[in-house]
Amino acid sequence: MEAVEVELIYDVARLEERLIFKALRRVGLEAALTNVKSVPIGWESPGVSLSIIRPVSMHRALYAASIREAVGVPTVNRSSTILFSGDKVLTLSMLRRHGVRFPESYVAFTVEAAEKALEKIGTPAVDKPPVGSWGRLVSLIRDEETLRSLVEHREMLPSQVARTHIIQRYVDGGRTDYRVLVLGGEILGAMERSAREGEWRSNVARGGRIRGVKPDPEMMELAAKAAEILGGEFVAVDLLKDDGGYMVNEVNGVPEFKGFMEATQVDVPLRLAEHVKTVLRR
Amino acid sequence: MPKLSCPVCGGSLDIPEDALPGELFEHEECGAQLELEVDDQGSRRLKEAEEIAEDWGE
Repeated sequence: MEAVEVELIYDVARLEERLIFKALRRVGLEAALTNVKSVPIGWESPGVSLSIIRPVSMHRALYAASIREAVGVPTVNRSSTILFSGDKVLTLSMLRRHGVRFPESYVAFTVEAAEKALEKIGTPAVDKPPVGSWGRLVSLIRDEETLRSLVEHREMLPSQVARTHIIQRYVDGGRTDYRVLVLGGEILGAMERSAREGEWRSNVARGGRIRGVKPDPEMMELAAKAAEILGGEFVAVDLLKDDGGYMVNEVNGVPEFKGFMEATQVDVPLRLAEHVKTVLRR
Repeated sequence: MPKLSCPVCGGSLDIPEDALPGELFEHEECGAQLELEVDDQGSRRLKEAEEIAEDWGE
């Protein structure tokens, strides 16, 4: 039997994981599944040539990638990419270090600091925790009173991460953002996401409307740069736009792409599998 | 399509042969979110899906 070439590491099998697994086989790669909820992962050779890291839990993804890297197995994505994209404070620090524009933001750990951040930014503003996704715990702050209540409520949560606030200028832009998928430095496509009626967040998980758009050169350059800064082999870069042009909102290190495929008709899992095959044959 | 029983209401669900371990299913009859578990012998059963945790996302 041919040795397993690619390992798909995951915890919850979403449509994405199912499609990636099928695509790996379609391009002729021998693929195996590792469900980190069922098996322990140790610092010994797993007997694979590359691991695709797909856990929906950021920490499971981060640790799985770091363990595989430690024994010389390349991972998509690397642990550093998962860490620096999974924690939005770290993402912004990396972007700032490389001169990439993002909405004016402050990090606050207490009610007092959050109020001072809001004074600097003005209303409306966005409050989000450093870790999390799908718009969870992301709030639009229209006044100081709302901010105070929100911070006080979050103080009751046991996690220090949830008690950390990124307070950010709200970029309206018609309640629209752009998602660009980057694979191996190449732009796979772009989609526009617009918040549904009665909702300000444009996340697909929140019912955001999606449509494929032709990425313009500025969009492509910025997305590719953000991916490069974070060392991302396969990432989704979320962009916002104001009068000054595009800026980076977030980078996703274990991107979901069901909505993206629907909007752009790009066969993302096939492109990923082909890319992995090319990397392995180098 | 093979049927498995719902651990919440006891009803049954059709689960495709090629479903992956860890794949999620919603039981329309009772609304339960379920996850496919496959043991070392390859036998399949459904269990209640894990709650979304704070570090879940993309």
